[in-house]
Amino acid sequence: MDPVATAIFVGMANRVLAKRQPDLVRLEGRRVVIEVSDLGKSLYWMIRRGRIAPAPVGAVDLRIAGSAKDLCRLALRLDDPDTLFFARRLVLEGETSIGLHFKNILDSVDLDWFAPIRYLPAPLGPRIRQTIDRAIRITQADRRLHDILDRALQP
Amino acid sequence: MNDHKPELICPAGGLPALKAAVDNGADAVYVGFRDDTNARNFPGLNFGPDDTARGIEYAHRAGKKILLALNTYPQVHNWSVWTTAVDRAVELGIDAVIMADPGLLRYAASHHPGLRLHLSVQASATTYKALEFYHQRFGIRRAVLPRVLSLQQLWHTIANSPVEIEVFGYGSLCVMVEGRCALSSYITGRSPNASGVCSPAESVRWEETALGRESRLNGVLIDRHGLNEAAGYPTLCKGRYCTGTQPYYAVEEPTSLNILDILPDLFRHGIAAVKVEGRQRSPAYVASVARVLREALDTCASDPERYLVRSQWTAVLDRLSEGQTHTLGAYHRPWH
Repeated sequence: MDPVATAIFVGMANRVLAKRQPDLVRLEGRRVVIEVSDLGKSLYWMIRRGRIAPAPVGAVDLRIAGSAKDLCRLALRLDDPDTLFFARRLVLEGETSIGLHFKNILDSVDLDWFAPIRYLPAPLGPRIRQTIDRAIRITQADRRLHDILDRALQP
Repeated sequence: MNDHKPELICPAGGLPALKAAVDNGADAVYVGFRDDTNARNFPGLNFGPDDTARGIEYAHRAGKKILLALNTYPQVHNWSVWTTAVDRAVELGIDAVIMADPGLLRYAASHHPGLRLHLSVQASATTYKALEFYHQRFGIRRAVLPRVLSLQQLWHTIANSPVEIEVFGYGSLCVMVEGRCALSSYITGRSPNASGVCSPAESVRWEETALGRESRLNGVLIDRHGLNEAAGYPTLCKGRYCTGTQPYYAVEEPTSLNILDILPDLFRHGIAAVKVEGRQRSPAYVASVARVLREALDTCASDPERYLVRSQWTAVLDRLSEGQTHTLGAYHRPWH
């Protein structure tokens, strides 16, 4: 895959996994390739010092393969990997434990979209957050967004 | 006749799944600590101390409960790991612990008399006499029944049980000797009761070959799936074997339990809770299953006589299922 796409993937992955460095250290040095089967692209990466880093093309410990759409569905948490695996839409070859461990690390990441608000001076931050929380609950905006994405990425 | 609406108990292997369960209608969420004190001891799965406290806070704020699975069997050399886990559960304010080992049940009952105890499915208690024993000795308040009883046996057990009864409502099926299975020890040296896992990930290998996907457990070929054939988990019990000429599922088929069809009967007989399997699954699974079962339970509660299973419920659940199909399991067996 071209260096720009790899850099974007590595950057985003490290942002999402920033707090999971202690878990990732346990996978230190392991090499993984993600193959986007319908695009014919392969993304090589590895764990280096508890972070995701680009890896050279070559031997890997784990191979993950799926269509662009399915890999997007996984990344957006619209599907769980077991579902796609049962349906034969996801391939996992090599050291299964790396894949399972990495999946569980990703699943444990509690994405907090409100993190920046926390840095606002009290009592402004909590109040804004409560208002946004309430607005989301009333409008069900999160569920709607989920359904829109789900429809757009129907297999 | 009992009009009580059963609680919906959903699984969570991490904080996002716990939130998904609470947000999508679970009455209680069951979790495990990140060690071998529970039957889903997978790398990176489960709750560390911070996540547990945050999860409890999130659930309690929404008026929901957190149950802790401590359902493996401690050995002599690691006994204190389990007792420490019980003590931590009390400190954290867990609503109930789910346990199987009689020694650990005794520890919890004598050291923390206020702690609510549920009997785990791993205890494999299948008769009301067994439940009476656990109730008298340790004061258990609820029992999760193994998925081995026919409906007639289930009704008989509920009618005579001294404690509340929780049954599995949806999810992957275990081989029919739940809580007593040591089949995996034969090939991986590990078993669910002792190690909290039957097919440890380091023993599992998949390979895509010209003939299909080959699943191996410790190097032993346990199944081969053709190009578009739906697959399941790589457990020994769900492999295909040759006992004659053709390989077939000689022990257990890869399929999921789904009790939507018999929900009104479960209501009528006074089931206390319906449990969803799958702490190893991702938040997307938990959200979808919780949403469907919440809707089904509410629909049934409002008018059990006119309750009908909606086709979209079944479609959503089948898509998530092992083997992409479902069964009533032992419930539809004719034996008494």
